[in-house]
Amino acid sequence: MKDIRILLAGNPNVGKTTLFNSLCGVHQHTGNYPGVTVEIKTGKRQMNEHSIIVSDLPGTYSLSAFTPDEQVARDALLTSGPDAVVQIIDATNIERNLFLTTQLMEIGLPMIIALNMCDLAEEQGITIDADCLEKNLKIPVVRIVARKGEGIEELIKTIIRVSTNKTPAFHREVEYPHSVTSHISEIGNYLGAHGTLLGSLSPHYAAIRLMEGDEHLEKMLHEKGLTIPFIDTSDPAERDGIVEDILLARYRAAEEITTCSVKCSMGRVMPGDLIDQVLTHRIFGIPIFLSCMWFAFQLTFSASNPFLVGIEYIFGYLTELMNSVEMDPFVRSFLSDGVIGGVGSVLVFVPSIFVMFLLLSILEDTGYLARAAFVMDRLMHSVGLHGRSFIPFLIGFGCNVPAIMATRTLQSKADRIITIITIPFMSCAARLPVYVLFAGVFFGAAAGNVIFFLYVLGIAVAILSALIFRRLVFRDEPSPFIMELPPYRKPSGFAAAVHMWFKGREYLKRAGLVIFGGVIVVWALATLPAGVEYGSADSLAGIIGQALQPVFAPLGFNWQLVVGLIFGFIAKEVVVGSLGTLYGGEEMLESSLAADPTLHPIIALAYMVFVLLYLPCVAALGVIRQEMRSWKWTGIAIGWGILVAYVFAFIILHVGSLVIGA
Amino acid sequence: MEHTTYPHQYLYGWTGIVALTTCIAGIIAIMEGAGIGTGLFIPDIPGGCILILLSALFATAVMKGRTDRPGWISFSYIGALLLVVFAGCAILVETGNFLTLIMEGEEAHLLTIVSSSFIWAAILAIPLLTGVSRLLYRCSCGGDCCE
Amino acid sequence: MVPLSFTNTGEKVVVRSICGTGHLAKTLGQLGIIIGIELTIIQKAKESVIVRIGESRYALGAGAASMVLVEPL
Repeated sequence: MKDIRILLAGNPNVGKTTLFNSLCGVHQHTGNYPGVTVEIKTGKRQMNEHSIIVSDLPGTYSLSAFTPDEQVARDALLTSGPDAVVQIIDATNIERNLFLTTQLMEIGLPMIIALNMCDLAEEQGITIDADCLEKNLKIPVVRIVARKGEGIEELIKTIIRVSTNKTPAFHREVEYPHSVTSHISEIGNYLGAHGTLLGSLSPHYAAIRLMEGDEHLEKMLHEKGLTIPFIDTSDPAERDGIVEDILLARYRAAEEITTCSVKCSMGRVMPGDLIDQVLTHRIFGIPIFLSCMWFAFQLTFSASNPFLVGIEYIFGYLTELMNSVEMDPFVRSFLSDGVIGGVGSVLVFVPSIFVMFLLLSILEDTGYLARAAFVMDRLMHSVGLHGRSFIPFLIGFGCNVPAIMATRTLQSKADRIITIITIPFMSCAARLPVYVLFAGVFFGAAAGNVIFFLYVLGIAVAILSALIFRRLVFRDEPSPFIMELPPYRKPSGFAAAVHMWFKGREYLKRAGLVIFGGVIVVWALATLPAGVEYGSADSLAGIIGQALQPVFAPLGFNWQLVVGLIFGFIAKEVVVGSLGTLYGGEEMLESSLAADPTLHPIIALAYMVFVLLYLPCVAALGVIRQEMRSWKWTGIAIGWGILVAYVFAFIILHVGSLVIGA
Repeated sequence: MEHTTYPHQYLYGWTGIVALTTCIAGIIAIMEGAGIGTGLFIPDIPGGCILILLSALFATAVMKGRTDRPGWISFSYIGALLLVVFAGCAILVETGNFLTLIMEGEEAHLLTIVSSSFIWAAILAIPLLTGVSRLLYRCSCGGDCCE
Repeated sequence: MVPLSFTNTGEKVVVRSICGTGHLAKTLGQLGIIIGIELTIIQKAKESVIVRIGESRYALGAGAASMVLVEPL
C-alpha cells in the first residue's frame, strides 16, 4: 500500500501543532524549538492498511514568502507534490483564515479543511454551517477540536478518501476583475508554450503567482532566459495596482463565503480587549512583564534544585560502588571521570531546561508572550532591535541553541543577523556553574551580587553590540513591528507537557551528545600521554594550555584556566569539570582554587567576564552557521565575541587592580 | 457610584482594601529582606516590590472605578489574577527549596512553604477575583457591564 | 485622515489609505489591513497601537502605525 503524504497548512496559532501531535503522537521526528514552529516536522499515522505521512508546515498568513518560515511553507506546497493539503482553520475567526484558503485552492492540490476550535466558537455564540461552507468552497470540511482529540478519526477517513480518489480537484475559483484575468491568460499562454520549465505547476497557476509577485518564480524564469509578458513590460506602479486588485478579490471572496456560512451573535466588548488594556499599558506593561519573568526564573531554579541534589546522590553512590570493585585504574578513570562525569554534566541541566520549556509553552499558549513582545518592542527598537527578538533573548538565558533557532520569525536579514550576534551575550544556564564556583570561592557572601552583575553586564554588552552593528554596519532601522496577538486561551497543562517533552528530547539529542563527547575528550586529553598523572601539566591538556597561556597572560589567566576556556568552547558545562580535573579532583576544587597563588578575586572576575562573553559552545556555533548561511557572518560573530571578551576582561583586570592597589 | 447595585458596591470597596493589604504585605517583605525582621514572612525584596506594583494596579482600579467601569473591572481582575498566580508560584518555589534542604540533610520547617507574603495577600484577593471575573464575562455576553 | 499613531484608545476607524507599496504594505495587506476595513483601537501607547479587525487583534509598532491613514467612523 503506497504511503499517503499530506501537508498541514494554516495561519499561526490555529492549533496546527496540537493537531499534528494528535495525529502522529510519538511517531514524529522534529528539529523544533519553543517560541514558534520553525522547521518541518514529519510524522506518521497508521489507519488499517493506510500509512499517512504528515508534514507540519510553519504557520503563514499567505503564500507570499517574506520570512524564512513562509518560504519553507511555500516551497513545500508548490514543489513537494503531496497527495493532499489539510488546512486548519480557526472556527472563531473564519474570514481571516479563508484568505489563505483562496490561495491554497489555486494550487490545484486536493484539499481538506479542518475546522478547529469548534467548542470555543460555540461558547462565543458563533454558529457555522459546515455543509454550506463545503458547498461554497467545494472542499470537504471536517469539524475538530484538536485539543481534546475530537473529530480526528473523521478527519483521517476524509484524508484517505480524498487522497485515494483519482479524479482531479476542482475547487471554487476566485473571481478576479477583467484587468487581472486578461493578463493571467496572456502570461498563462506564454508559459504554456515553454511549459517544461515549471515542474508541477500549471501555467495558469504560475501566471497567478507571478501577478501576485512571487519573486522566486520570477527569478527562476528569468534565469531560463524568458521575458514574461506584462510582468517584464509594465511599470511597478501598474504591477502594484494589480497586486492590490488580487488582494481585494481574495478578501471579497472570503467575506462572501463567511457571510453565507457563519452567523455571529451580537457585538460585544471582548474581555480580551479589556485584559490587553492592562497588560500592554504604557506604565504597567513592562513591570508586569518583569514580574512574570522573575517568577519564571525563580520557578526554574527552585524546581530543578531537588533533581540536582538527587542526581548528585545517585552519582556519588555510583562512584562509591565503583571504588569498591577491583578494576584496572585506567578503566576506572574512564568510567568515573569520563562516563559518569560526562553523563552527569548533561543531566545536571536537564531539569532546568525542561522546566524552562514548560513555562515558555504555557506562556505562549495563553497568548501573553505576544503581548510581552509588543510591550518590549519600544525599548528594543530604541537600541536597534526588533520587538520579536525578545523571545529568542529570553530563551537564550536558558540555552543559546534553541534561542538562535527561534530567530527565524524575524523578517529582515539585518534584524536576524544582529539578533544572532547578540544572543550569545545572554548568559546561558551552562555558564552558571562557572560563576557559582569562582564567585563562591573568591567573593564569599557577595557571590550573589557578583553573579547578578555578570548577567546585567551580558545584557549591557548585548545592547551595546546591537547599537554598534545597527548604526555602523547596517545603518538602517529595524523593520516595523507587526504582530498578530492571538486570543487569550486557557493553557492546557497536558498540551504544554507534551510540547515540553518533545522539545526537551530534542535538546538532549542535540546538545547532550556534544557535551558528553566533550567530557570524554577532556578526559582523554587529561589522561594521555599514557602514564602521566591525571590532569597534570604533563598531560596533553596541560601542554596545550601552557602553549596558549602567553596569549592570555595580559589577562592574568594561568594555564589551567586557559584549558578551561578551550573546553568551554566544546560545551560550557565542561569548564568546571575540566578545571576540577586539572586541579586534582572536583571535591577539592574549591580549596585548590583558593590556595592557588596565581589567582585572586580580580582575576577571578576577569575570568568570569571572559567566560560570559567570549563565544558560545560548539552546538550553538553550529546553529549560528546554519541560520546565517554564511561563513563570513559566523566568523564575524565569533571574532566579535572574542574581541569583546578580551577587551572587557582586560579592562576589569587592570582597572580592578588599580582600585584594589594589588 | 450612585447607581450601583448592591454586590458591586461591596466589590468596589473590597478592591480598596485589597490595595491596602497588598501594599502592606509588600512593605513587610521588603523590610524583612533589609533585615528589619518581624518574623512574619520570608525576606524577599524583589517579591515585595512586585507586591507594591500589584497594589498600584488595585489603586488604579479604585481610581478608575468612579468614571470608567470597565477600567475598574480590568485592572482589578488582572491584579487579582496575577496575585493569585504569583502566590501559587511562590508555593511551588518554596516547596522546591524545602525539598532541596531536606535532601541535603539540613533543617527545614514545613511552615516556610506558606510563609511567602504573596500567599496571605492572595487569600484576601480571592473573593475579589471571583466577583470581578464574573462581571468580566458578563460584559462579554452582551450584557451591560454596569448593571 | 490621520495616521494610526494619532488615534485614541476605544475609537472605531476606517482605513482610507496605506502609504507606500513595499514589503510593509504587502504584509499589512495579508493580515487584512486594507482600504475600507473597519478597525477598533484597543490600546494606544505613544506611537504604537493594538487594533482589532473582526475577531483578530494586531499590534503595530510606531513605523507601521504611521503608515496607515484612517478616518474616525
